[in-house]
Amino acid sequence: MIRTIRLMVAAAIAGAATCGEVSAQDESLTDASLVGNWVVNLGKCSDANAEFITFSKNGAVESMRNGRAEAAGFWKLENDRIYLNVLAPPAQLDERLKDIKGYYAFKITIATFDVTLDSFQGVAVLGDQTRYGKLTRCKS
Amino acid sequence: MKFTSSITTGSMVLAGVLIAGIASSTPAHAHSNDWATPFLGGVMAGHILTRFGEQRQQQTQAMQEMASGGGGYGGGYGGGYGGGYVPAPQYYAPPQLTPQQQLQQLDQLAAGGYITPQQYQERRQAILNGM
Repeated sequence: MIRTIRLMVAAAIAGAATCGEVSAQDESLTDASLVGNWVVNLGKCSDANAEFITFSKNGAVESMRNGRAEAAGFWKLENDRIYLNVLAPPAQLDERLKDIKGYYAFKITIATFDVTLDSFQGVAVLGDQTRYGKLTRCKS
Repeated sequence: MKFTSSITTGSMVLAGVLIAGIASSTPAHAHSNDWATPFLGGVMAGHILTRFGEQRQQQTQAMQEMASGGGGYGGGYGGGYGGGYVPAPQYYAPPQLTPQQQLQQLDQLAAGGYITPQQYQERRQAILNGM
């Protein structure tokens, strides 16, 4: 009897784990699902200083960190890749760039993976630079 | 017999727990990534820092070639920006540029191929004379 119960528990755990993995892989980003406000990495939606990326329905994208707009421009989603054409002030990005005046244009590609309904992971690529991030949807 | 079945059952439970553990742990935890590092800001800043480093080197080499009188000029310094970023117009130019800023601006013009090496030298000398 005990053996039967244990077998059932093990099968349920394994089954649930497998189902979870499959459903996560089945999800794919769409224009509609990408629209919204996303918080990056361990940031919380309630923390104004966290890094946020907002994809608008009209094709505009805005990146915000420490309560300030960091980059703004346009987004396009194709084959699970997000293409960003944004304008950003280098002086605001890094202390070492504080003397650079004006705005620079960037073309960033984010390769996405592990997409679920309310989160996805991505690797942002710009030239020889890559950064990993996990984006979680903010409900409001 | 009972002992054997107990081991088998225990192994299955252990396997189930292991599978659940693997499934619930995101690949993020496998990366040695600094979570505090900015995502988009980091990639843009990193790119500028590396590109500026390369640009400075190319400018220095170009200057050294010019100073030694060797090598012909084939269309400005640097060879342009390759796909990463392009310098956008500076919308908020300060009204009074310091000599250092003027020299930097001049460097950028030269790097973009907007002025000839001769114009660069003349303008640079004029800025230095005005200090």
